[in-house]
Amino acid sequence: MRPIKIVTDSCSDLPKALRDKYSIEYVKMNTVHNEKETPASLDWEYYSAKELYDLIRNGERVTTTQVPAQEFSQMFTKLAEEGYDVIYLSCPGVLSGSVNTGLMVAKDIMEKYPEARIACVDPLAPCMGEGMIAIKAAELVAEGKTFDEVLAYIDENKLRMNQFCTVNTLDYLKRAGRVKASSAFFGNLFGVKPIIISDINGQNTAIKKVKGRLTSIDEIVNLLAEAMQGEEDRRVFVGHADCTQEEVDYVVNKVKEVIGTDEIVVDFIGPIIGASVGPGALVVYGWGKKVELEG
Amino acid sequence: MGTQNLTGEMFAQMVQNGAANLRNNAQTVNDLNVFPIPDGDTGDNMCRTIEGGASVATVEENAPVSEVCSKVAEGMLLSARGNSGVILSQFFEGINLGMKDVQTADVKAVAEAFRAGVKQAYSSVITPTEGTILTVMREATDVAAEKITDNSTLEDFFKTYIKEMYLSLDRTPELLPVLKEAGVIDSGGAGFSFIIEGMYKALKGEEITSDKMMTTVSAEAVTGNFDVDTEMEFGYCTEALVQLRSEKTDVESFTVDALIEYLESIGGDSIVAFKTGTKVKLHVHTFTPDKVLAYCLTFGEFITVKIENMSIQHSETTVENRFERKEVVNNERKKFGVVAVAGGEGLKEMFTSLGADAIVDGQQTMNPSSEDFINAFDAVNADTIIVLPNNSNIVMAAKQAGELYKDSDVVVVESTTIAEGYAALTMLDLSSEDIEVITDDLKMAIEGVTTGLVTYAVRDTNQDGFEIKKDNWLGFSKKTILSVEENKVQCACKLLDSIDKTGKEVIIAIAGKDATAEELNAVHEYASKNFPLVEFYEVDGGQDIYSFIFAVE
Repeated sequence: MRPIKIVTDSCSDLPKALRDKYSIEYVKMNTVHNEKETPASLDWEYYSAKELYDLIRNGERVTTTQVPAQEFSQMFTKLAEEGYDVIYLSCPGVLSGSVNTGLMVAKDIMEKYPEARIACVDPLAPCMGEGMIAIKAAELVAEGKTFDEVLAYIDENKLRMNQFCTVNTLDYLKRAGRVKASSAFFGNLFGVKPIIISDINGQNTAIKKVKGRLTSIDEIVNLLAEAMQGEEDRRVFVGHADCTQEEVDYVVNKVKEVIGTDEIVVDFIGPIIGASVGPGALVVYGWGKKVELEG
Repeated sequence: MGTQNLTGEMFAQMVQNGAANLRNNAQTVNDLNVFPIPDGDTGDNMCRTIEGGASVATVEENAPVSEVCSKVAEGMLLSARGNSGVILSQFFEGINLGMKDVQTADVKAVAEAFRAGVKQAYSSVITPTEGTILTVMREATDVAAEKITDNSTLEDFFKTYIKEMYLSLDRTPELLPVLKEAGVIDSGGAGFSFIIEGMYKALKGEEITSDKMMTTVSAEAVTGNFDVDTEMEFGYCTEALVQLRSEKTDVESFTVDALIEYLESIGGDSIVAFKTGTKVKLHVHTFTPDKVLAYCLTFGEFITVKIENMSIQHSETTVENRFERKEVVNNERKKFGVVAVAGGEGLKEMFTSLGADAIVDGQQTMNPSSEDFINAFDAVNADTIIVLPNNSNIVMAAKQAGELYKDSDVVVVESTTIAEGYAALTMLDLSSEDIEVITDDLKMAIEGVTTGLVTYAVRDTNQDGFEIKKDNWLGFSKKTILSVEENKVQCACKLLDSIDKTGKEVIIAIAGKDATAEELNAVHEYASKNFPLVEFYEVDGGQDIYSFIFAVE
C-alpha cells in the first residue's frame, strides 16, 4: 500500500507544531495588499499576525487569492514523486475556488504519475475546522486506514465539525462577501454581536445575535458545549484575530469550565480567514453533532 | 328652573365648549409636570383627544343624545394621545355605552352614563393609579350622582360635580407622593376639570371661544422649503368630513366601500374612511386631491376639508403628527411589520435602518394619536404588526389603536424609552416566524437596558435629595434624578457614573439636537477612560428635549 499524505491550504490555520506532529503539508494562497501578492504563510514568515491585523484596523483593504495552480502542481508532483497518494482537504468551495483548481491540477499530475491517487475534498468547514478535519484524516492514515476508508470517513463525518464564531462587526465579512446574513443583521447594530456558524454548504452564516462581547463569548462556548454533548473527541480549537490576552484567557477558561476539557489548542486565525473576518474575531471548533442548518 | 333633559344638540355643544375651555388652558395643564423638565404635554394630549370628538359632534336639531355620544366617542378613541388622553377617550366611550338608545337623557341617565364612563376608564388601565384623572372623575361622579334628588336639574348635578371635582383634584398630591414631592396637582385630573367646567358653561349658555385650533396647521408653520423645483415626493395628506346628502345618495344604506375602492383606484394610500351617523370621515394620501374632492361631492357636501402638501416640512411646534414611511407604496402584504415611534431625523433614520417599516412621528412633547398608529398599520400592511411606542405615555394610545385595528394582529411591545426601543430593535430577528419568540427577544433586550436621560430644569425645586435650580442640567434614570450640574457634559458623565453598570457592556449615546460634537466627544472620552471595558457608541439622534439619551446595556 502506498503511503498517504494529507495536504491542506493556508485556510486551515494549522500551526507548524501540529503540521509536523501529524505530518500534514499545506499549499499557500496569497494575501493582496496595495496590489502586492504575498504568500499566506501559516508561520507568519512575511508579516506578523499583529502587523496584518493592524493594517486592517487602520482601514487598509487586504484581499486574498486562491491557491495558484503552480503551487498545487509543485506540491502534488513532489508528493507523487516521493510515492505518496494525496488527500487534499481544501478551503470550503463556497469561499474559495481552490478545490476546483486542485482538481484540475490533480488530473494532470495523475496522468503523469498514473500510479498516484490524488483526491481533492471539500470538507465544508473553514479555518481550524478544516485543520481539525485534516488532523483527523492524518490520524486515520497513521492508524493504517486505506485511502478509500479515509475518504469515506471524511465524507460521512465532515458535517460533525462545529464552528461557532463571534465578531465585533459583520462589516469585514460582508465587504469580503463571505457571510450569509438575514435582514436581522442590517443597520447599525451597535454593541450587537453576531454568532456565525459554518452551514451544511460550508457557508459562513450568521444565526443569531447577542448583546455585548462577553455575552457573545459565553454564547459561542455554550453553543459548542451543546454541540459536543456525547462526543468522545474532546479537542477544542480556539482561534482569534489578534484579540487581547484577557479575551483569549477568558474564552479558554470558559471552554475548560463549560466543556470540561483540557485539550485546547489556541492560535491566531491565519492570514486568509483573518483578512475576511477582521480583527477581533473569536472562533471555537470541535467535533460533535451533525450540522443541519442551511443558511 | 334648570335643564331637565339633555338633548343630543346640547351634548354636542357641551363637548365643544369643554374642548375649547381645555384648549385655552392647555399650557397650564402642560406645566403641571411632575418632573421639572420641559416635556409636559398632558394638556396638549388631552386637548387633541377631545377635539377629535368635538370636531365630529356637529350640532343638529333633534339628534338623539346616543347618536352624538357615539360620534364623540368614536372620534376621541381615534384621536386619543397620551395616557390621560386614552383614559379620557375611554371615559367618553363609557358615556356612549351608558347612553345607548337614549333620545334625551334626564339627570339620572346622565349620572348613570358618567358612572359607566368611570367604569370604562378604570377598565382601560391594567393597574389603576389613584391620585390621577381616574380618581378625580370617580369621586366627582360618585358624589354628584348620590346627591341627585327628584328635583335635581342638570345644572345641580354639574354644580355638585364641579365642586367635588376640584376638591378631589386638590387631594391628588395626598394620594400620589410624586405629585406632593413635585408640589403639583395631577395634570390629567386638571385637564379633565377644564373639560367638565367648559361643558357646564355650555349648559348655562356660556359659549367659550378659542382661537387656537390645535389640530390645524397654521400658515406660518410652513418653512417654505417647497419651491419651483422641489420634487413632489409625497403627495397630499387629505382629510375631509363629508355630510351625506339625501338628494345625492341613499344616506341610510350608504357605505364607504365604493369610496375606498375609488381612492385605491387613483393610487390613494393610508386610506382611512368610516361612516359615522350621516357623515363620512376620510383620510387619504394622494397626488390628486382634486379627484378625491370631486368624488366626495357625488354623495355629499363638505363640512371641513384639510389638504396638506406632505413634501413640505413644517416647523416643530405646529407640525401634525403623522406617520412616515420607508416606501410610498407597500402593496405586498408581509407576514410581520414593525412600527416604531420616534422623533428627530437621526432617530427616525436609525429606526428605519434597523428594520422598522413605518415610523410614527412622536417627539417627547408630541404624542401620536391612536389614529396615527392606525394609519401606520395600514401603511405597513402586514399580518402581524409589532409596535414599539418608545415612551411610557404613548403605550396606551398604541394599545388602543391595536384594539381598534382589525386588519392585522397588533402586538405592542412596551418599550418606554427611545433607548429601550433601540435596544429592542437591534435584537429583532423575524427568522423564527413565531411572534412569541420574536417578542420575547425584544422584551429581553428591553429588560437588559438601563436608560439615562439628560435635559434641563424648567423650575426651581427639590427632588430626590437634590436642590435644583431652573436651567440646571438634570441626569436621570427610571424617573429618579441622579445628577444635577451646571454643565451639560458633567451632568452626563455623573449620570453615567451613577447608573449601575454591573453586567453592562455597551453604552449607546444618542445625541439630541442641542448636543454638539464636542460635547459628545467629551462624554465619549470620559466613558472610555472611566469604563474601559464598556463599548461606547455614538448616534446622532437629533431629538428634542433630551441632550443625551443613554442606552446602557
